[in-house]
Amino acid sequence: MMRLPRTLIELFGLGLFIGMMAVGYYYNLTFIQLGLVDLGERGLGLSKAQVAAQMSVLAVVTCVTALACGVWMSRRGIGFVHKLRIAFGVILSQTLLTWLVQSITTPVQFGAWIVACSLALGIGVPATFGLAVDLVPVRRRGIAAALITASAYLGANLVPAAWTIEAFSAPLLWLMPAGVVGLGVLAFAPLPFVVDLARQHARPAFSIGRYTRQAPRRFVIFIVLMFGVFFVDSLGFLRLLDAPRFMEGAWQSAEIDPRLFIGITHVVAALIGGILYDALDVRELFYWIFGIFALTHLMYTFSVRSDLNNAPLAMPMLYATAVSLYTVVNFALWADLSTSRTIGRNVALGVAFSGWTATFLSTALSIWWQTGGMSLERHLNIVDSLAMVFFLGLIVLGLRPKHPEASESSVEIS
Amino acid sequence: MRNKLKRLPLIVTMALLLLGGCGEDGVFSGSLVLGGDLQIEPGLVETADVLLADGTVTIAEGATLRGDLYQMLGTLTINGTVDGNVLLYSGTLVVGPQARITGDLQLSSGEIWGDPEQAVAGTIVRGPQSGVFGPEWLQRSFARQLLWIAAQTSGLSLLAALMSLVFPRSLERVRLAIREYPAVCGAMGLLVLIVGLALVVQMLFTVLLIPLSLLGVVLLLVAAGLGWMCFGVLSSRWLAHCFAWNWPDALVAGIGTLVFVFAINLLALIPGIGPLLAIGSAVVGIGAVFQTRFGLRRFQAVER
Repeated sequence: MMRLPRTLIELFGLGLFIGMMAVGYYYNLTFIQLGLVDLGERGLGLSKAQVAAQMSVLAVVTCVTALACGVWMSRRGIGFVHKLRIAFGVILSQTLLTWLVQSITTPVQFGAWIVACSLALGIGVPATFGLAVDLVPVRRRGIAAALITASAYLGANLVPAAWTIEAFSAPLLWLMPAGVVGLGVLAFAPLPFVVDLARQHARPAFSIGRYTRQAPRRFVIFIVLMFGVFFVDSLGFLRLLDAPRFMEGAWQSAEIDPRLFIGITHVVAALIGGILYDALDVRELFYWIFGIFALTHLMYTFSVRSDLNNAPLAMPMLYATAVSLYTVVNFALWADLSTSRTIGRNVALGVAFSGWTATFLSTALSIWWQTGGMSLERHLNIVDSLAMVFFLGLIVLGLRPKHPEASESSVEIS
Repeated sequence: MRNKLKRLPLIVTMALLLLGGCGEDGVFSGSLVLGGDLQIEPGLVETADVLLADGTVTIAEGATLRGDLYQMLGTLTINGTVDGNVLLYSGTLVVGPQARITGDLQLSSGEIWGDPEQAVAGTIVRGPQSGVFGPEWLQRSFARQLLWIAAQTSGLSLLAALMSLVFPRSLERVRLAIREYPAVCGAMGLLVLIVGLALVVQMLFTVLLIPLSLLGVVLLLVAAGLGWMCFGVLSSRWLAHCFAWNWPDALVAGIGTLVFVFAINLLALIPGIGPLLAIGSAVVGIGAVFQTRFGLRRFQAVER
């Protein structure tokens, strides 16, 4: 059989990764993060606290599953084709779970269904993120992450007309079966270019990430920073979700214009993030992310204090900018810290400890504060202060004299 | 001492350019309404520009406001005289039966009650303002437009020539950043603009930080100007190469900036693509200036 040129194979792999991750992230943003809340509160009549408890269960089970699966993948040295097969299984089960959502009628079924969703997510995270070292060359990781972020957020802002489980599941029931068929063919049919794709991870252009040689110390710092980003975002947004005046003219607007504006902001910010990720040290992006979060929450607290009736779109615009920037970093960073052998474990540690642990803790804290009667202004003030602490902490760390070993290792990489 | 003398023409030029920013009415004065009510009572004459960010402003029958009115949100009721222009970006504008606006009325969006046709002595411009040059600019005579372009172009080219004498390395660093990393500079410029403008507006709202906010605006303008100058230097190198000029660097920088800024100003007159080119080059320039910390360091992207 005729072999395809290497560039074409690379492009196909890049497209496959971007498409798969974009749909996966769209699923997570809409169906998981927003749809489950609607299903619990509107569909089953559960209280906010009960639904939040279920969401915490989701975060914990996903976190533990991802860790177990990631460590197992690294120990066993799971290769490209096996990762594809795991991803196929995950998407197949997620499609079935999405289809099953219509038949959930009791809280017990809801709980069991959430555990099943968490298991699929937990296995899916290291398997799909892990494909980055096989499919995305190091120099294209920023822009690939930008395209994933841009497509997922643009879709999430435009496609669901309402924040209901039905509106979220409808497009997924078209997208996911197509993904199942495509991945099934790639994972199980003996196609020659899949063999070529499976060999890519051995090439230096794919295998040596930007921070691979500095991994241990930097890895811990990045987990802490990403934890901070997820925590600040989640803690702030969970409270904004309950403030109709901030949501109805923006993310939850009945009109398309504000949602289109936010979607386009996500696209522009993601492209900015992708270009800057490839050109700058990632620490500089963290300055921007924490700085923008601090400014945005300051604007929200001003708006609360001034009791303005109309919240200007500048606030969601800045929020979307910060979110897109850190999502780009999240999609590119873990692969850049890993080799094909360590990617499963590193992604699991990174995403589990930063993403899911931050989500779990911020959800619990937000509910505790809300049930304790904390005002919106105070809540946002604390989030603002947290963002400022991280921002100033980074500046202080940046001013510290460089360790000779760190300088040497950076020379080695360049 | 020699260095100080060398910098004197630069300082004088910058001071002259800043003086050019002062209007014929002298120092700017204005009122910012963030909430609550501002009422100009009958018989009173207020002289100030007013920015209505939220709340209500009422100009009662028999009252006069000498200055321009900018409405972002809130409710503006005019039943007296506004000796200036009114710009409605959003919110509600009520034009009473006794209202009189001596200047123009520009309506971007928002609600309008009453009959503005009777009240406005100037023209009524409807629809969102777009592009670098709004309707006010287009209404100017062609000679005035050319005069403005010539003044801006010659000012910047003179500054570029002086900068290349006094700070040649800084100009070179920004020029290299633009030439070698246009996409990175564009991305950084956009980010600086998005966040910088929001920060400037937010500081304006605190009242206490208004001086810092103005400093931010000045920094952004200086960055945009410096960026354009470096685009000019970039084109001057190309021109020097094409025509085999063997002239002093300062002269080449001045001529390059003259050609570039004049071309950008002319292109900006073309609807659609023109303003985009002007804004795009300014964004890339701002990004390059920030990446090089105003020309203080060489910017190099990380290598793999």
